[in-house]
Formats: sequence, C-alpha cells, structure tokens
Amino acid sequence: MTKQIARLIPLLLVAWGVPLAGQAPPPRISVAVHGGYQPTTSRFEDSFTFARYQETGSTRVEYPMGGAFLFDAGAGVRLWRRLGAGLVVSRVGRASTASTRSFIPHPLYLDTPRQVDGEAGAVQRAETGIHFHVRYEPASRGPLRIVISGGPSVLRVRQTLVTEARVREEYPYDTAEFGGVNTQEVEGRANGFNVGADLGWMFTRHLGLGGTLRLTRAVIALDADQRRIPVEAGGAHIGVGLRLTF
Amino acid sequence: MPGKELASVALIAAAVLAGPRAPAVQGQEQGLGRAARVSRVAAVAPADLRAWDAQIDSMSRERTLDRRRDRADRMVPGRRHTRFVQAVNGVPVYGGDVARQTDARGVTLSVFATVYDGIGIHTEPTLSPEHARAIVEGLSGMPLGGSRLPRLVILPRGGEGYALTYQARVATPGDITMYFIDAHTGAVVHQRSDAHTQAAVGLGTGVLGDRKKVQASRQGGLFVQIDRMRPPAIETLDMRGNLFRTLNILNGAITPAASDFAADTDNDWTDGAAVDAHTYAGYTYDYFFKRFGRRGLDNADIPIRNLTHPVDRANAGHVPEFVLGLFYLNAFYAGSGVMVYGEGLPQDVVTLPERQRWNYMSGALDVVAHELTHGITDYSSGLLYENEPGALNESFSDIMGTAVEFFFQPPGDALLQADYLIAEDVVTPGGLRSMADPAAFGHPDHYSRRYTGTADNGGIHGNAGIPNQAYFLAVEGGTNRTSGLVVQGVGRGNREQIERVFYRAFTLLMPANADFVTGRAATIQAARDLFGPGSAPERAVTQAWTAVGVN
Repeated sequence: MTKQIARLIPLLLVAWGVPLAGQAPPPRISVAVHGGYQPTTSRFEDSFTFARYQETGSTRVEYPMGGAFLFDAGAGVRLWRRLGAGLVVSRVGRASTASTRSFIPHPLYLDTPRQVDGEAGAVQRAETGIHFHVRYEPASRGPLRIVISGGPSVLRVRQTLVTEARVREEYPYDTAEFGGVNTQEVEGRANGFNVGADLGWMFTRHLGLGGTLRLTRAVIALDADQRRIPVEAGGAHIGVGLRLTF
Repeated sequence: MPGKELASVALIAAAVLAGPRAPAVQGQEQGLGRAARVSRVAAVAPADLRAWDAQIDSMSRERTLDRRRDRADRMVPGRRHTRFVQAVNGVPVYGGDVARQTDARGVTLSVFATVYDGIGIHTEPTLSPEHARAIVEGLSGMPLGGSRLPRLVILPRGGEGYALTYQARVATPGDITMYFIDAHTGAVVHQRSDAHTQAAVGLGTGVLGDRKKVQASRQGGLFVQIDRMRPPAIETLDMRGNLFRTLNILNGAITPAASDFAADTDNDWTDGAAVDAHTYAGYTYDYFFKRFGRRGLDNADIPIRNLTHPVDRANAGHVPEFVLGLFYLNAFYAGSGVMVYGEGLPQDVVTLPERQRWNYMSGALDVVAHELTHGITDYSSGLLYENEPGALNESFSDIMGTAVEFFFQPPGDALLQADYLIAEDVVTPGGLRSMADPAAFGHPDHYSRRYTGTADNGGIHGNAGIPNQAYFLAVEGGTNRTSGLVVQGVGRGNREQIERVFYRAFTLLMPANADFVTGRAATIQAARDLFGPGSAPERAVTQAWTAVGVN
C-alpha cells in the first residue's frame, strides 16, 4: 500500500504541475486538519532472557501492527511563487495483541524447559510525527487544489513492551500455564522523511474539504531492560478533512 | 540396601532401629492410655463421604467443630470449600480441622481432616491471658503490644495427652518463636521456631560429580535442604558423623534441630551425599506420582526425611563391625518416612574378596529409590521382612529402584546410566545384585536354587534374585539360565506395562505374608486387571514366573 501511494505522487505531479504552470499564485497560508487511517500492517519481534530456577529462560514476543486511526493537523506558507514550507503534526494510536512464546526452566530438573505460549492484549502503541516539508502547489484549476510536499520528519513512538511472561505452575511442574504479562512503556524517536500529496476542493475562497496522502518512515530504537529493539515507524497516512486558506 | 555379608548384620540392626512397624490402619496414629489420639482422614469414596458428612453435622451440633470459612472455588467453577476447626467449649484444638469440598449441588466430594479425640480436659484456664503474656515477655525478652494477647488453645502432645495452653508468637532479633504456655501453671509446654522458610531452588554437585537442581529453602541467612516444591516436605539432615545423635533422632528421643539440616551459604551445594539423598528422594517421589499417581510413601504425602553422614568416614577402620555394616556399607529405611544413607569407605579402602570401593550410598538413584520403596511397602502390603515375603519385599524395592533409574537416566552400562544392576554407581565395580543375572552375584535365579537357611532373615536379599529375574525377563525377555525356558518379554519400549503390573500387585493385591506363588498369582491378576486376559503383559509375566520355577 505504501509503495503504491509512493508511486502515485510523481504521477500527480506530472498530471497537475505541467499544464497549470503560469496561472495565478496559490494562497499565502493554508491550514488543514485531517482524520484518517494508517493502513500499514507490519510486525516486530523482541526477545529476552531471564534467570529462573538457576537456569536461563527466554521469551520471544511478536508485536503485530495493524492499521490505525490517524489525526493530523498542519499549516503551510507560500514563500516564493508556488513554493512554500509547511509543518504537519500527526498522531496515530492503536492497541494490538502481542503473542509470546516462553521457555521456562523446570524447578526440579536441569535442561527441561517448558514451552508456554500466550497472548498479551491491549498492547498500546502511539506514533507522533512532526513533518517538515517543502511544498509545491501548481496553479489551481477552479476550486480544485493540489499540493505536493516532501521533507524530513521526526517520529516518536511510545510502545508497550512485554517485560515478563508470567506463568502458573504446580507440581509436578512438567507443564506451565500462561498467566499474563508484565509490561512497561518505552519511548523512542528518530528522524525520517515524508513525501505526500494533498487534494482540496474549496467551497469558498477560504474554506474547503480535502484529502491527503503521505508516506513517512523512520526506524526507531526502543531501549528496554538493557536491550535495543529496532522498530519501524510511520507508513502511509490517508486522511480527509478541512482546508482553510488565507 | 545392605552389602553382602555385612548387610545381614545391618538389616537386623536396622529392624531394631526402625522400631515398631507403621500402623496397620493407614493415616491413623494412635497412642495408648491418655495419649492424644489423632485420625487423619482423606475421604473421597462415596460411603466414606456420607459417613463424614454425618460426622461433621454431629460434631457441629455438639459445637466440637466450628465453621470458620466457606469459600467459592476459584479454580473449579461451582465448587465450595468449607473449613471447620475442632474445638472444645469454644477453645480450638491446635491442628484439628476439617476441609470439606462440595459441588454446585452441595454434594460432598472430598473430606480431608485431622481430628483429635479423647480430649478430656477442663477448658477453664487458671491464668489470665495478661498473665500469660507477661510470661512470654519474660521468656523472649520482648514486649508484646496490647493487641497481642496469647490465645487459649488445646495442644495435643502425642503420648502426653492434651494441655490447655496459651499460644503466643513472638518476634525476636534472631527468630520468630511460637510459645505454648500451660494455662494453669505458666510453664512452657512447647516452643518452636515459626520463621517460615522460602523455597529456593539451588544447584548441587552429586557424589559422582553430576550437576543437578536442589530444592532448598531459605532460612535466615542460610539455605537448608527442605524441599517445599513437592507436596510432601522432603528434608535432609547432615548428622556430621555424630552417631549418637543419629540414633537419638531415629529413636525419637530428640527432635532434629535447625542446625541438623544440611545447610549451605550460597545455594550451590557441594556435599554430594546430601545433594543426592535429597534430590534422589525427590526423583523417587516424582516417579511414583507420575507413573502411578501415588502421593509418597503412605499415599498421603508423609514427610520424607533423609539422614546423611550418620558416621565419620574417616573412622571406618576403628568401629565395630556392626556399625560398619549398618552405617557405612548400607542404607536403610528406618520407618515413618526416615531413610539413613551409609557413609561408604575412604577411597583407598576396598572390601574383599570383590575388591569393591564403597562411595556414599545416597549417590545411587536406585539405592535411594530402593529404600523409599521399602516405605511404600510398609504403608501398603506390609510384606513381612523374612523368608519369601521378605524376599518379595526386597525384590519390589529392587524393581522399583531399577524402574526409577530407567525413568530418569539413559540406559547404558556407565555410571549414572540405567541398567539391571543394583547400587552399581556407588559400589564399584559391579554393584550388589543383578536382576539380569542374579547368579553372577551368587544369588539364585530359579526357585529350585533358593536359599532355605536362616541367615539374612531367610535369605531375603539373595532370594530376591528369583522375582528380580522374573521382572527382568517379563520386560526384556530372554532365557532363564537354570530352567532354559524362554520368555517373550514386552520389550523395553513397553517397560511401563510391567512396572505397573508389579506396582499394582505389590501395593494393592498382595497380603503381608505372601510367598512367591502368591507373588506370581498377584502379578498375573494385576496384568489381567490392567491389560486384560491374554494380553502381552499377562503372557510375559506368566512366562517369566514359570521360567524362574514359580508355578
């Protein structure tokens, strides 16, 4: 999905930019607010070890990331002819279910780990992005407007990480049951990029509706309990919302 | 687990040391005269449950049971658990209580209880609780707050009957002590440490240098060998070569003190004798639980206590022969869940004529399992310890000892591998007996060669070779050397079938005075019960007994 959107952007440039050159300059200031969706699906893994019953146990956690609702707001200013600069702040939040697989040492015997699988619900993840961009706005065709943009982004992720898979066990301990997880919230940030296109339909001189397509991406290292987990942040942002121009 | 001729002496002494046999009625300990009498109840059969329902109702009406707690079961929906405390005139009996489980319809599913009877004492104290508190403060040197008034309880005192006491728990810098103060005289009737220990899994190195987990407990600043991970308490004592103290503990003259427990500072245990006695007792419990669902020696999780280092190995050359035979070259079950493991001999000493070295006896899994199986026999068939029943008794211990070995160790001829030799890991080379070839140790492998003299209680260790051989042939198949008869065994992969057959026969079917013919009949019946008439296990067991001349 992300790749498809990326391919669309240059096409839009060609379709709109070339024929409309030389027309009236776009408005000086534009403001947009969107609600939307980030359809990205991906996953990341974490694994850690722990001491239990004089041996080392291990837990591997898979964090699937499905689509999530998006909110963003931004503003742009035309600086020279059809070029300008802008800033968008986006926020994506989601809760998902992580799956865990642990190997828990046996309390009575050496080298006899018990496999315990489980699921940890309500694993929260929030991505906040600040997207700086250079804007190019071809001449408008009636009420229809388009803006093409690209630039650096700063992405911050706040993620729930599983720090321990708890187990219930009783004699003879040859099996153990999943008993939930302990978690911690971690944060990380990294620099990335954004490219996008914005379509608007102005009902009046100052007010309109529009949609935005944005691709943003960064790789963030989350630090937890002396380990570093690389996490991909961002993805495709698809939103619709209000346009204000001045 | 005696060794050769010395073992005969050992066994006789062991029998004396073990004292009276366990009571015939499982789960009951009864004293004489005015002694405190206790019934330990584990009722799950419908008839027993009906009787106990009536008993509980009756005792509740008489106010000798007070309902203290009624809770829903959080693990099994619909179930409830009610706990009653035994009391006399409102004064609770210390340790007397009843736990009843009911289903959603209120039908009783189980009753587990410890109930005392014959409590014929007055329950009106002479001393006030404040007076008792002052006594406890004087004893402990610690002031007790106004809310910490001692509680009036009836304390069962075994053979000394019952005492009306005040119970108080006091924390001191070194311990938590529970006092029981006579409610009439103010004397200390009983006191004990009430510092609860915490399970702590450690690591240890066994007699043969192998590493294993040790189920210990943290007590103060030390780790002690008290296993709280398994249902019964499994405790291992280090007698530090003090034979006098060992004998006093075996005879019940003294109660083991905290300092008697095998202890370690860092929970990485290096005393191989204690490590193996402790862990192998746990393995044996595990085997019987996993294979047969049995809960310990008495099937009711009686505590298991191992005594190690009963003597000093360095003194082996200076002790009487009977001490050498019993406490150096031997291991024995001393009754009531207590095992004693011999110290072996210094490494540069061998016994003649076999030129065998003797290591710490607890270092062999089959030895430990053998001794614990004696406990199971004691609490089940009660096979008499002489002549043919005695040989069956010894054989069952050999069989289960070997079965435990095969359960936990890979098959093979090396140390720490499972085979049909007995004690081969600690009595080297060769061990003490062979189930595959009893004749290799001078033991009979056929009924026609049985020992009929009086030594060794009628040759119980040697004659065990006959049922041992039958067990071996039933599993492995083969030819009995004396009869030349061929047995089609169930095969190694089906070892469990024969283990179950022998376990069933020896714990459920066999009477105390069973002879070999009864052993044959009981095992064949067990095979039919478990696998059906004409089954491979039944055929193997039948052929095996026939091959060893027991018809």
